[in-house]
Amino acid sequence: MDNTTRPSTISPEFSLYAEKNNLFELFQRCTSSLLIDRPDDPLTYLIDLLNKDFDAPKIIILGPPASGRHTIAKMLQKKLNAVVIEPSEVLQSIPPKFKDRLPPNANSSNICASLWAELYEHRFKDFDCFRQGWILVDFPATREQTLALQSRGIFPKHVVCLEAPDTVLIERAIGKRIDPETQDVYHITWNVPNSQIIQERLVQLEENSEKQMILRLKEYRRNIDGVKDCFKSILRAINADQPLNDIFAQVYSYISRKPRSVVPRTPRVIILGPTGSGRKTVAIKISHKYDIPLISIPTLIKQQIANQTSIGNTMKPYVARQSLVPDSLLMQLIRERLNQNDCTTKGWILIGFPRTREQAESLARTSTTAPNRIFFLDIPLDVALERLSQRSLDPITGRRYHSHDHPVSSNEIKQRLIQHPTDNNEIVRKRYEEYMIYHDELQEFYSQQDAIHIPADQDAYTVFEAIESGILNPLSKDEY
Amino acid sequence: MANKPSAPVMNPIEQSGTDYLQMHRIYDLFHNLSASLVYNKPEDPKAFMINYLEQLKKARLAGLASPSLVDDKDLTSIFRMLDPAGHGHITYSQYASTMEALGVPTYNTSPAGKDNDRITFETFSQEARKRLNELNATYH
Repeated sequence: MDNTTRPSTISPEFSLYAEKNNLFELFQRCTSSLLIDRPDDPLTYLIDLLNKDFDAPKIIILGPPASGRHTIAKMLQKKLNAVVIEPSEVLQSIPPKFKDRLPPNANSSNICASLWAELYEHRFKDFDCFRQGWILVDFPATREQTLALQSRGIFPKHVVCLEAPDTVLIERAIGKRIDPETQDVYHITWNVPNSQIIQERLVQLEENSEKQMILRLKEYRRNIDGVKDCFKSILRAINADQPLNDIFAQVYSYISRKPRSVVPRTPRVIILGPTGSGRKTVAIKISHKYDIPLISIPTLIKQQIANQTSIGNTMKPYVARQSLVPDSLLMQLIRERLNQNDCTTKGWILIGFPRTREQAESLARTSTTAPNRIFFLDIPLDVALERLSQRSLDPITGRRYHSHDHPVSSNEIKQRLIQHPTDNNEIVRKRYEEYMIYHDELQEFYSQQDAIHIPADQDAYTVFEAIESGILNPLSKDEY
Repeated sequence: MANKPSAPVMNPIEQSGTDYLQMHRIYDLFHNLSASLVYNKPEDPKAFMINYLEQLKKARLAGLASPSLVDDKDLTSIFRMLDPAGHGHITYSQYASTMEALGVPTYNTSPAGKDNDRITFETFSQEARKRLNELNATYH
C-alpha cells in the first residue's frame, strides 16, 4: 500500500494545546495590532509586540457627576495596580510637540477631540500604562471624543457606566465636602471624617451646588448616550445608588471576567444530578441547539450489549445481575467513544457518569476525556419523587406524559399508559440515596474546577438557559 | 478569508486592510507559525514564536532557508518510505501525491525523468526544497 495516500488525521492534541495556551486570542491580538499600525516590517513589529504583550486592564469609567467615579477608580487602582488617568493630569504633562497646537488658556473644554485622542495615545505609550494597564475617568465625555480615540486604535477592554436618578445625585453632591489639604472626598451624611480638625476645614466646591449640578447633569445626559453607543458590546451599566462596597464588588467582578470571545471552542460538558433532575431533557436540548454529540452512559452500555460487541458481551453479565459495570470496562468504553471524530471536533455532553470520585479521577487523566464544564443539577428528594411518579409512557405512540405538565388528552390513551418500572417510589428513593452518597465527594473533587450548581426544580427552559450560559460564558479570569 | 467572486464589495478600509495582510503574506506567516506551534507544543508559546520570527528575519537577511516543519532529514525519510526496495527512484504519481501531502500547491509537473516514470531522489528533494522554501519565506 502506498503510504502517501493514507488519509491524514490531525491529532486532537493540537487543538487542546491551542486551547490551553489561548493561541486564538493571541493571534487575534497580533492581527488587530497589525491592522491598526500597518508597519512596513511586520516581522520586527510582531517580535516587539510579543515581547510586550501583557494582559493589562484597560478600563473606562463613565457616569454622571456625583456617581462616585473617582472613588471607584481609586479603589480599582489599589486592587489592580493600574494607572488612573484623568483629563487634568493629561493636560498638566503635555509634551512639547503638542504645545503649539493647543488653544490659548487650554482647559478641559476647549481642546478638540482629535487632539485629545493624540494626547491620550501619547500618554499610553508610557511604560507604566503599558505594563500595568490604565483606567480612564471623565474621558471620553462626548461621542466625538470616543470616535477620535477609536480611530487612533485605542480600545478599552471594559467600560463601566454608573447610573443613578438625578435626585439622588443632586442630593449626594450637595452633601459632598473636600478636604483642601489632602484632596480627599467626604460626605456630611455617609462618609464623615474621623477627626474634628479635618471636619472643620472641609469646603464645598462650587460645582457641587444644586444649580451647578443641574447644569452638569444636563450636559452629561446630552452626551452620554452617544458615548455608550460606541461601546455597546463591552459596556456594563451598574447602579450607583447602592452602598459603595456593593458597587465596587459588582464593578470588580465585571472587570475580572474576560469578554466572551469568538474562539471556536469544544465544550466538554458533564451534567450530574440525581434521578428526576432532568439531565437528559436539558442535555438533549443543548445537543440539538449546538450540534454537540450527546453521550449517555447507560444508553451506550445498552447499545454495546445489543450490538453484541466484545465489550458488550463482557458487560452483559453485570447488567443482567443489576450490578454496576466495573470501572475499567467503563473507562475503556468511554475513552473509545470520546476519541471518535465527532467528539474530538465538536465536543461532547456526558450524562450518567462519573458516579464516584475514582471515576471522576480517571476521566480527568487524559486530555481528551477531561471535562471543561461541570454542572450539578440540584433537586430535593420530594420534587424528584413527584416528577417521576407522574411520568408515564404510551406504549403505542411512544409519547411521554406527565400528569401535571403534559396531561393526557383522552381517556382511551390514559387506559393504556404504563409506568417505567424504575419510576416506582421505592426505587426512586433508593437511586436518589445512592446518588447522594457520592455527591459530596464528587462535589468536592470538582469544586476546584468551578463546577456550576443549578437548582433543577424549575421549568425545563430556565434550566436550559442556565446551562447554556454556563457553557458559553468564560469560567474565570484565566480560562475560556 | 479569501475574497470569493460572489462576496459583496468591501468598504475601502476593509479592502486596504486585506491588501496589507496579503502583501506581507500575513496569512501564510500565521499559518506556518501556528502549525509549528501546535506541532512542537512548547511550554512558552510566546518565546517560541519570537524565536521563529527571529529565524525568519535572519533568513530574509541572509537568503537562507526559512524555518520549516519539514527539513532535509524528513525528505530523505519520506523518499525512503516511498522507495523501500532502494531502487533510487519513485514513480511520477508518487511524486505528485507526496507534493500534495506536503502541502505544496503548485509544483513542477514535468520534472526530469517523467518520461520513463523514474524521478530520482535529487530531482524530488530539489523540487520539494525549492517549493517549501517559497511557502516558508513569508515576507516580501
